[in-house]
Amino acid sequence: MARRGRTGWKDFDWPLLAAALVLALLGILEIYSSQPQEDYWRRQLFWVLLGLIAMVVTARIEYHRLVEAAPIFYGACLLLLVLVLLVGQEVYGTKAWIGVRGFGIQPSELAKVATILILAPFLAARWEEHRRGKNPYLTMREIAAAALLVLLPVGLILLQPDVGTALTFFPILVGMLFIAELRPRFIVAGVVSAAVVMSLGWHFRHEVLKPYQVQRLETLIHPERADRRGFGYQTYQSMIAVGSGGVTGRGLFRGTQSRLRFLPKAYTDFIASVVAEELGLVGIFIVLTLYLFILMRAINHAKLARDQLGALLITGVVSLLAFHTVMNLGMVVGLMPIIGIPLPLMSYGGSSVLATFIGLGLIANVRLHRYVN
Amino acid sequence: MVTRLSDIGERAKAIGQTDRLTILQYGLLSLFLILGVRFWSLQVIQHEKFRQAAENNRIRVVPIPAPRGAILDRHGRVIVDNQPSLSIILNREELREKRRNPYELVDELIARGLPLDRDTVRARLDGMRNQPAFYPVVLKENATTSDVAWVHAHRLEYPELDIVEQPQRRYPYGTVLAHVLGYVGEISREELAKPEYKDYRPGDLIGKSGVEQMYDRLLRGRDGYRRVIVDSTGHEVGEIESIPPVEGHAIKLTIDLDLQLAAEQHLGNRRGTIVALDPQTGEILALVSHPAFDPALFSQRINTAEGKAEYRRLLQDPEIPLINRALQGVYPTGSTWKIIVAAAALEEGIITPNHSTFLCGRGLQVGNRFISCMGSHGAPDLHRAIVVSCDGYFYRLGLKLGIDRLEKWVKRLGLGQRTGIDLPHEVAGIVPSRALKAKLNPRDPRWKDFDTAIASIGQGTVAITPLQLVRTIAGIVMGGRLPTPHVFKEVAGDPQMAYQQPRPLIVPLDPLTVKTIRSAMWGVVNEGGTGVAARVEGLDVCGKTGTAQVVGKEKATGALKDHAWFVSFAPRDHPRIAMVTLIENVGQGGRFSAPTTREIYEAYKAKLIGGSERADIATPAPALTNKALADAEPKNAPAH
Repeated sequence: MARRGRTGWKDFDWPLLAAALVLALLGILEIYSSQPQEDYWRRQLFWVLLGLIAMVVTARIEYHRLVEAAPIFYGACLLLLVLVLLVGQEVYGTKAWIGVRGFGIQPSELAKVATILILAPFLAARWEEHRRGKNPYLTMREIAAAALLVLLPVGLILLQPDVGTALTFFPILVGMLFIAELRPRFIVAGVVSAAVVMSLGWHFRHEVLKPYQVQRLETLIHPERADRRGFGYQTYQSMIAVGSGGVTGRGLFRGTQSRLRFLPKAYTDFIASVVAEELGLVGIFIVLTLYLFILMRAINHAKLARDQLGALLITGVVSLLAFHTVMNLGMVVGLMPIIGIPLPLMSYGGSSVLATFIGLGLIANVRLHRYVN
Repeated sequence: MVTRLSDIGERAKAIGQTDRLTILQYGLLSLFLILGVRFWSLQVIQHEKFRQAAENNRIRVVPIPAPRGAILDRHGRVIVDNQPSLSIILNREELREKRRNPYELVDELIARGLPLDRDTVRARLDGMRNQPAFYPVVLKENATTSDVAWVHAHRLEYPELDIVEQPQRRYPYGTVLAHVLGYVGEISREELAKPEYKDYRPGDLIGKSGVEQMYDRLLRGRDGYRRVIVDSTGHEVGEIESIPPVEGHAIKLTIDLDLQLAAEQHLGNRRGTIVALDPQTGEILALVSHPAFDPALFSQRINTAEGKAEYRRLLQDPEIPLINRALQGVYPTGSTWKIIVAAAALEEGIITPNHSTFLCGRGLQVGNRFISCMGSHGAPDLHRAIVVSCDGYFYRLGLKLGIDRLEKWVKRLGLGQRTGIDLPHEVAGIVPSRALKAKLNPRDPRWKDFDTAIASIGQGTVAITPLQLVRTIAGIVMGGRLPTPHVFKEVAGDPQMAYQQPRPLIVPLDPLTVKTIRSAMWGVVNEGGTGVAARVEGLDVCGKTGTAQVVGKEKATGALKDHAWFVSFAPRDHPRIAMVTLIENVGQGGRFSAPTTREIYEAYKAKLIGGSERADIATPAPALTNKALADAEPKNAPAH
């Protein structure tokens, strides 16, 4: 009973919730702006409200208890991922949705959270073991086991096929491994080999990649020169939207790029372009600040977490959110290839919104229960 | 705030971990810094460049017109389909941005050598005024290679011009079936105002007559479009979305192309009409109306000067080629009418098949006038009177029947009323009655015996369509069942969407009446009657001739001869085809229409025997009922 006082509403992470809410509402506003005739914004509002409930609920159930249920959640997600391949709705060549479009769910989004929940206790337990022994670092075998937990959902998602979403699982793994005491040698080796692979890949890009993938990458270097009919077109249009916004933007609901639909699907992956066009650099800096605030605050919570499990849970969520945010914004400004990753909280998409709020709930949870034994 | 000892230990060991988390924070901070710098660079440093790029971004909607569904005959042979053609279109939105007046632009284009039809284009620009600017206007369809070359050569000056491919109606058989098919044309302003066209837009092609009009909804499909980005020179630089068109349904008509072609061929260049139908179902097997027009005129040439002249000629042609004589032409029926009078008299009990003799008397004295018969037939019975088409007999029979009972039966049998065929603009015509005479002839409104006598042989105030006549005669010989004639069979590939027959008109007739009439009509052809020229070996053709006197000025000057009728069915005992042949101003039905009819039956017979549809087309033994016919299916039952 004594717990209740400390885990009560007073101690809930209100600033985190407020920052998330501002982003989500701005998202709804801009979804409306880019698609005023559709009722996407209404559906998004529904999902945000559902997400808020999910966040609060997730935050209030003590995270050790949540983790106990993780295998069930993880198993259920794998099952859904199999199911989606069998009965899923095909949208733009990808079978990722179950249910009616608009209110369907995308199991791959929920699988991200499930993977964090299953990885955290596994790595936390390893960390406990190593803390007692003389070698504090993860062994190769343990790293492989952790990777396997990630590769199961990734494999299923690659079958959909949804390369972009599959890719988002690796930052989770890398981030959590890093916090769970990766041997420094491995880190150095990882960075070096990544650099080597990327350089070799670039050199042999025409042999390794499909022509359109090469094109996407080359677009990054010379967006203006790229074939504007193809993939470079989207990047270039997004850059025009961003650039034409200027410092103060064209004004809310006045973006010509997004409203005239030069930008295809502006309400999903390119919602930040709409913000940049309509609200300018000012709007974008507010958005960047809010995301940075959420991520910094979350990592601070991880530092204060009462155990390794809490720290790992937060790291997982932070890695996920950070990767999504940086990749999406990078794509919008032509720094990253277009791989169809939503901007957390702002892009249209129920499952993504829901998964993000659950993740934020986990962060709030670790903070809320930081003193409790 | 109780902190356990073990917790303190954990914290101590976790110092390295806090460092890692801090590293993570710095890492993220720097990534966000990079993003911030990039945004700043795009939005501040390069702002001007991208602002201009945004200005240069132009959107253009390129329509992809849906091909209209093909029209097929009952066996699936193509009667109408589509061929690609090129059109020059004008994107008005870009003009608006340039603040240019489209009307002036069109004048300029014409002055500079692009052959456009000024009036047509102006009318279209008027029509598109209230439409969103990104819908383009078609300046010219059927663009020639030199038109296309002109547009390409002037691309930089007129980036708002574009060439698109549009499907165009193709008529492999030319004028054949023109009146049934109808034609397509641009929707008019008046049509757009009608509620049934509320989802149509100016510039849309719609069916203007015939099947094209009646089944427009099925045939038209749904247009698609591409939304593309073009730069300021009109070059396409990207595609935003592409909505493919949905092709219209192909539809199957009840028309049998072989029979149709035979009918077209044998009517030849004479003015007139031929309708063949299945008396059981009302399916029209062939429908010719001559002179005809070329439906391609309307889809291909109507917006050119030559096309307009051609259309004017059609409108002014005294032979009125644009009307469908089968259902828009009204004619006195001549002696074919005797079948109806006979049926009415039999049903009313005026005569019986066995006691039906009247005098011919070379005609009849009515009041102070003598109306003559063309021959001297003694005192024939009904059978003989029909076979030799004795007028004297029918004057007397008509007088005994009386105009009121005749009128009752004529109307019950569907004459003087629209048949309900699924083709537009059918006319009702008129049939004799006391009321009609009073209306038409106010100086002499009272009905007289003379009028009755004339009305009994299909002259006077009879003016009905050939389609009505064939439907009624076929209905009588089918025992009084008159289905609605129709040309639509089903949507090709989807027999679920088939013609829905309304409840047929049922006029219960005594089987003896039916038998008597069938036998008399058989006699007309096969017993040396007036229709002997229609005799076909091995196919019990039955028929009735008619020679309709042309009244009025033409007749008085002797410039025009009588209309020749022949209405028929075959085979006698279970009719499967009924036909009317009307040839205008040639003379007697027996001499002109009967032989033409024979040719078509010959074609029909050849097809039945040659094809898989072997059926009992000639019946050696009498008195097979319709029931027996139905029982005799399937068609390759053993011969008996």
